[in-house]
Amino acid sequence: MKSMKKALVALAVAALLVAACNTKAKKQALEAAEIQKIDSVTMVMENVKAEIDFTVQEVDKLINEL
Amino acid sequence: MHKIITLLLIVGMTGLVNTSAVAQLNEKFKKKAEQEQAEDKDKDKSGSVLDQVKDEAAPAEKKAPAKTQKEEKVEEVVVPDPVFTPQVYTYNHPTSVLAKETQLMKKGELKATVTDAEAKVTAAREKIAAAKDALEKNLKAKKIREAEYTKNMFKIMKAEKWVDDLELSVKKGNELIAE
Repeated sequence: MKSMKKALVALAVAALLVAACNTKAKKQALEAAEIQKIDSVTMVMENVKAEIDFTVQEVDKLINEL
Repeated sequence: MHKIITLLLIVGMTGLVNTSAVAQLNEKFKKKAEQEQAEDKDKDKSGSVLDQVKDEAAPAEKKAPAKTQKEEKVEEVVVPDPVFTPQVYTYNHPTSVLAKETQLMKKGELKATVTDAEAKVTAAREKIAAAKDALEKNLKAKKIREAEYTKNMFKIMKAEKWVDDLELSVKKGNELIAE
């Protein structure tokens, strides 16, 4: 009976550990996905800014030639 | 005793369900990331199509003045229009909070650039209109030759095209800021 109890306690601890680890992994996956999403938008912003700067330079050059 | 066993079973089952849920979530995120990458590639392709059209338009512009310059026997070196190439940036943010901070910073920079560019578009449109008027007047007053008029008109048209491009980029920037 005692060994049965010990086994049950060990099982309970193991189950709790698995549940805790899964929650952590889930949180990490969600965080990574959010970071990726934010970074991709940031990259688009940076590229649009660079595109505007580039086009402004060309416009300036051509307007000065007129 | 039965209650304890039932509880343990429930906890164990929750653990298993969580494992499968995490695996499903991972797959979903991977699919999303792939879709986003594919969309980005499509955007790049449409951008390159625009660039191609730009490139095709540029030689046409340069061919016409060449005809008029035959009379003057002056050769001009054909310089292709510069093309903007988007770059891939890597940020390596450890947390989403830091990623958001960087995004806010870049958003502020973009906003300032867009505001300046809007002013630039207005000023450029005014200058182009003035240059056009002056050119028409000079032609009517016969101060300039037809060849010179054509050459200057092509310059004006080229500037107009770039201003249109700038306006499009500004629109894109405004959309990003509004998001």
